[in-house]
Amino acid sequence: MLKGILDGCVLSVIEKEEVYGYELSQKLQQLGLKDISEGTIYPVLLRLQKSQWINGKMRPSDAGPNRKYYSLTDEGKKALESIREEWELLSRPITNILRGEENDINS
Amino acid sequence: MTLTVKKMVKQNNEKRNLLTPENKTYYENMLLYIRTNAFKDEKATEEVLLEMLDHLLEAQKEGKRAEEVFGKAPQQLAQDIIESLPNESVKKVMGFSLEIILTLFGWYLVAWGAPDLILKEGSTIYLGTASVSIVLIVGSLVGLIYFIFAVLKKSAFTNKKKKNKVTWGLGIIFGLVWAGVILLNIFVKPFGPAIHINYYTAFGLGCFLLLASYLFKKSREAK
Repeated sequence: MLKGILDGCVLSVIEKEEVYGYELSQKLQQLGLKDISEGTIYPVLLRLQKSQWINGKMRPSDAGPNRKYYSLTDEGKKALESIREEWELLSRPITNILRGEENDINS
Repeated sequence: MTLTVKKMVKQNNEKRNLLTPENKTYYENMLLYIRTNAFKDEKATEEVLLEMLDHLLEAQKEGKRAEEVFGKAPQQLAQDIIESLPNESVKKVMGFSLEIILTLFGWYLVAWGAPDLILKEGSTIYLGTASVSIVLIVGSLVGLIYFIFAVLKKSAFTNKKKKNKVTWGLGIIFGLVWAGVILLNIFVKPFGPAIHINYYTAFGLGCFLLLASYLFKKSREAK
């Protein structure tokens, strides 16, 4: 389950703008995911490319050298939407369960 | 803009020298572990290796150590990356194998045919002995290559002392296999139907195979 959530976070960052690996890891950290090792984004990026949710293109960066920039594909946009919906449904009950609250959220 | 595999490997070699000794060791262990996994798409492999190297170089500029960037469990990370990489297509694996076999036989025939060419004497080939030798040589080489890859992968994250031991072990095994092949050729009487060949046949065929394998290699690298 956590795997899919990290995928969603990566997709969301890429949706806003095209990023390369290092940039992506910095953005995730700035957004508060400090405990995630920077290396873990690479298996995620590979997986997302294999599912054709993102596209990687080598092009020169502002700093000069070539970097691989990632962008969302149409399929990726759809996938991100469904991850978002799923998260909306799950996030509140999970938070409650983990906090040990027994309030019935439907009431 | 896409880079060929050869160019990416070259870039990787150059950029790796910019790493601090500590970061270099960490990165190279991971590189070795990931590269020794056959049957994964070569281009995707080199792309991700180069990306991670760039990442490490940028982090290094900010004074970070590899362990802080990629974590304390590089082997696990490398394993995750291997599992996420796309598989190499069967066609490519077959093409690459064919290329290696052509090169192998090419050199074998050239070395074997060279004395004939110089002396201008033909020789007699016993098909039985020849085919058994070929099977042995190819079989032992394939086994050896596979074994080297397995050992390299296994030893990627172990210390240097152990690595030296492994290198020695490999050398000894290599020597034994080849001694076996040579002894077999000397002590087992030739058998099978005999054919006579001209003094230039073996050498010429060897050159032809080498040329073919060279063309294969060029077309593969251009992709």
